Amino acid sequence: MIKIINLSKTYEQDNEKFEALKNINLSIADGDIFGIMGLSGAGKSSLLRCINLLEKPTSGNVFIDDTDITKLNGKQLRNFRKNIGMIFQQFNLLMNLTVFENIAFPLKISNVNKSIIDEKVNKLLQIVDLKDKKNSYPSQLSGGQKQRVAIARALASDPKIILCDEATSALDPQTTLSILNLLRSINEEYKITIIVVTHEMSVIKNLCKNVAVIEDGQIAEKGSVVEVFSNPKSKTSKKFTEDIFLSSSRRIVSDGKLLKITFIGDDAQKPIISNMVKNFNVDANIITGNIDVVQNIQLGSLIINLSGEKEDIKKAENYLKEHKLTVEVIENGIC
Amino acid sequence: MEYANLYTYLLDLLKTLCPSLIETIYMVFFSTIFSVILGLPLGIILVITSKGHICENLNINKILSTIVNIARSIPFIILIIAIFPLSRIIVGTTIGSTAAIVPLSIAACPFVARIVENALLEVNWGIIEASISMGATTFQIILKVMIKEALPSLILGITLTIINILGYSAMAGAIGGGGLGDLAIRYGYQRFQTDVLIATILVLIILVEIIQYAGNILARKFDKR
Repeated sequence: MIKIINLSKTYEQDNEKFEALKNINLSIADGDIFGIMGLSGAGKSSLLRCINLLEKPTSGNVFIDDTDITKLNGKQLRNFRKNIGMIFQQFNLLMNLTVFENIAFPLKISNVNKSIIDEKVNKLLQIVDLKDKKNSYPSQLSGGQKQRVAIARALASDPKIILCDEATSALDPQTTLSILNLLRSINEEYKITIIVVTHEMSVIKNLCKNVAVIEDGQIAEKGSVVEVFSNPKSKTSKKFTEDIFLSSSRRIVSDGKLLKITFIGDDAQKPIISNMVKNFNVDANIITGNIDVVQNIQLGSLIINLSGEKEDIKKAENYLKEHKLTVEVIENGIC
Repeated sequence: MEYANLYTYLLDLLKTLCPSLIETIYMVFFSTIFSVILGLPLGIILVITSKGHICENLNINKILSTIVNIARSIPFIILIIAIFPLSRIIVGTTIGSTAAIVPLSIAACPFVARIVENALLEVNWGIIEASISMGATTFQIILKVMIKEALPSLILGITLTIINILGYSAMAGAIGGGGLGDLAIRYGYQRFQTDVLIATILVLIILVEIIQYAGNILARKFDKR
């Protein structure tokens, strides 16, 4: 269990103060895959770095299990960090060490016995599927392979938590997917808590169970990924989920009411729209629709334009809401 | 010149050159070792105490940096004379190759410090941060991360230092330090034996070539980037 309590971080440069994080409260359960989402500069990386104190918080506490890590001294902190693995956007491998030596590095600095190191690193090489690259140097590997080495290195000290700082942002979509699959299988198999910082929606959608949205150094929204994506409340999550056709459909419609309807799970299969048209005297013009799969749950979104009498439209809207659909008015040409 | 005469001539030249060459190698070798022993820790401290680094301490950094700059701005020929008393304390004399090692080491030390500083600053901060996140101690970060990653640059920097010390050693020769510089001045300048002067220059050129070549090969061997 990770508990972040009243955490703030202020940077000071040339007497100018910049509040990167403001009074953050967050708890992350063991075994979770937790996403921290935000636009660049929102403070998500700073927050992640406070969890292993690569960034020292200006105020507030970080509890991991029952230890307040902000209270640890130098040596205690160094030992504690061995419970927390970290992977980075730029991989940060030692360029003059082989793949094997890189993975062995955290064990070597802990003075682990050589035969144990050999055994462990070979096992890790198998997990990340890089057995044949054992004696290669990082410069000979592709981006995805480098990140696999970094993951193996993070796993070497048997951590309880792995922090991922934009771990897939430097990779192409195909490689990103394979890295996400690897992280998910690690989470499932070893019950390691994974915390992911990203600005990529696909990472949150494919990997995370829970998510917090950071805006201007504050938590704007948090909850399960399905919750946040089906009913986005913050500016950032709305922006992330906004249909690319939305802005253009705004221009198409000149009269009537433009609605965005979101379906979750089985609702996506019910003929609610056609029932609505039959029962109320309205016309529904479908502008665009999309079905997404988030955490194995279908998430449908439909943008329709309702036209007809004002009263009828009102009734139709209520009908949709009665069926527990999320209805959002995007443009109202009737009023 | 007849063949036999040419042979004896070259043999004579070699006999003149050899002791001086050995003196030069002796001076350069030990001066390099001592300047690296002194300059390497100095360069490391300059880096790790700099802003935002693993042992940030701007006061120490500023003091050391100023000392290094002052030491580097003193012309070598003046430094040798200024250091005479120190040479006498350490080796008991101010004349000869052994005595010259003292000012040579001291003159090269701040140079080594800057070279080390530049090489270590090249190391990607992300790699250092990754090792902090793994729980590495300051000592482990310096030894196993920074020096290991910067090794090719360090080797090239030390190569540069050796060649620099070789140049300085000629000046040390001018005031009784012996070596090839001393030979060139005594024979080539004071006795007008141009052939000895040219031979000395040739030997120095070859020496520099060998040092640079060896340095390049060694640096490439350790560079896996």
